[in-house]
Amino acid sequence: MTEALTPEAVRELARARGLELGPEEAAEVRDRLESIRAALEQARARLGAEAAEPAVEFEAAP
Amino acid sequence: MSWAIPAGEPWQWGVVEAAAAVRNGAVAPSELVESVLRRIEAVEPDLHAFTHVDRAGAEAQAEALTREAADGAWRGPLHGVPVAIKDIFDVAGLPTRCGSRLFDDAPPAAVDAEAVARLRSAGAVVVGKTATHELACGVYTEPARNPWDLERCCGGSSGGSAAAVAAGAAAAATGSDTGGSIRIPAALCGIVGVKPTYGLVSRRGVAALSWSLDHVGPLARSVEDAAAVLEAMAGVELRPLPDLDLAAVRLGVPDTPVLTRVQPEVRARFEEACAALAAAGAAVVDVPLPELEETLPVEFAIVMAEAASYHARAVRERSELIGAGIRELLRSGALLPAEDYLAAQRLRAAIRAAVARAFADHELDALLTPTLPLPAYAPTDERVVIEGVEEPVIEAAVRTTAPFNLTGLPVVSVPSGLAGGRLPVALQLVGRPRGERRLLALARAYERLRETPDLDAARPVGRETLRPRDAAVPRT
Repeated sequence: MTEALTPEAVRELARARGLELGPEEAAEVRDRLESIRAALEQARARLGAEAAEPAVEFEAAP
Repeated sequence: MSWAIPAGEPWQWGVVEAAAAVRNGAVAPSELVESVLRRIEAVEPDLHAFTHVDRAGAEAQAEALTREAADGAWRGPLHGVPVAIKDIFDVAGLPTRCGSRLFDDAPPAAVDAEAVARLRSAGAVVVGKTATHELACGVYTEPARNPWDLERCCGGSSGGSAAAVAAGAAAAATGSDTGGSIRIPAALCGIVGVKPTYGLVSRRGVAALSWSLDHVGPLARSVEDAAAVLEAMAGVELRPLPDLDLAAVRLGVPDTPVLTRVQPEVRARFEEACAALAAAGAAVVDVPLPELEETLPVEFAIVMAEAASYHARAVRERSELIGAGIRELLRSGALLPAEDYLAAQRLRAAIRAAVARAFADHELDALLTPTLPLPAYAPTDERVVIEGVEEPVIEAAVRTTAPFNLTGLPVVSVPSGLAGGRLPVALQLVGRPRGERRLLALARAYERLRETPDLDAARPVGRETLRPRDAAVPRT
């Protein structure tokens, strides 16, 4: 969950994945992750996408 | 079959014209390719569309094809046609650099990408590799420029391909499209771009940006030319395109701000296009599609996560070689929770279902939208104001195109006229899954209806050389 993330927590998480982030970079990444999550949550509320499955497929050619 | 020699110099000929001229003996492949190579030499100092011009390789291919033609041996429908390849596709013997310092030392590719191999087996001659925005992730493609106005961008990420084709430096080119990267540069450079149905053209040998959104397709100067190249790339039969009875065609115009908030002249050209199709008998109906408003966070979340996965090692070990903006995107993607990535994929499924319902409920053959909300911008333009709303250029550029990466539907972008009397804008036609043949036929029908003496007269391919424009155009 990103809600509780501080820039320092982002740096720790990044370090665990082999990435070194400076304090400013960590703040930018945190802001981007929070912004994306908020936008996705709004979209989910508007579309009611709880029932959708994450598949990519098409019907047969017409 | 016509035996007439097409008008103009061979570099000005389209794919179909050039192929016919070769087949008729009006020109040898070596003459055709030499003409295009000379055109490249003339425009490239200003255009910067190519990362590598393979003169020796193109000449050798053309000579072999000339000998075969003299013996009556034809490789396929593109015998001798010069094409350019976006520098994220492997071309045997040349490095694939993806517009990134990460690949400065890339060795030559051992084999062609599948799409390139198919073009060659159809007889196409590869004249070189074209510039891409870094890692195929952006809409500027510096230092390549727009042949309609050398002070402006050619778009991206397949910017070099679009600039080269628009300037006559190739008859056609390959591109890839994750959020609009074929259609954006095609629209800004006044040519045709096709993003086929997801998976129709093989991505083998093409560097990925985002696997589930990446599409491979052609750029060319006419719909017929694009159909010929797509046919070869995909290995499907598309031609002859049927002559559509437009009175039997239903077209939907999504009534949603993400697609309708465009600059006034873009709207004017779009309304002219809709009116021309309606006057020719097509039913043009408004279609509510509010789900498309959610496009951008869904697109960006998927691209971030998938690109971070694809480039994971480079992000960990050589991130100093990645531009700052893309580096931050990749690092964010590396830390995006799986829950959020899957939320984006589920929202994508909901958007795809909504568009499928719109096609079914309104019995549509295609959706119509402006390809982009604005004409070509300057390399220094980072933000733009459209209808009183300020937004980053990248978001303005992809909000009209990315919905159809999420849906995977086929799209053709066709020039629809000029803004400011000198910069191209385009119409986007979105079809049903695997409905390329009918969609291309519809796009060609529109192309024939289009009243564009100004567009045709202003085309860079009609000019001997390219020059920076003197007159200032209001910035977007």
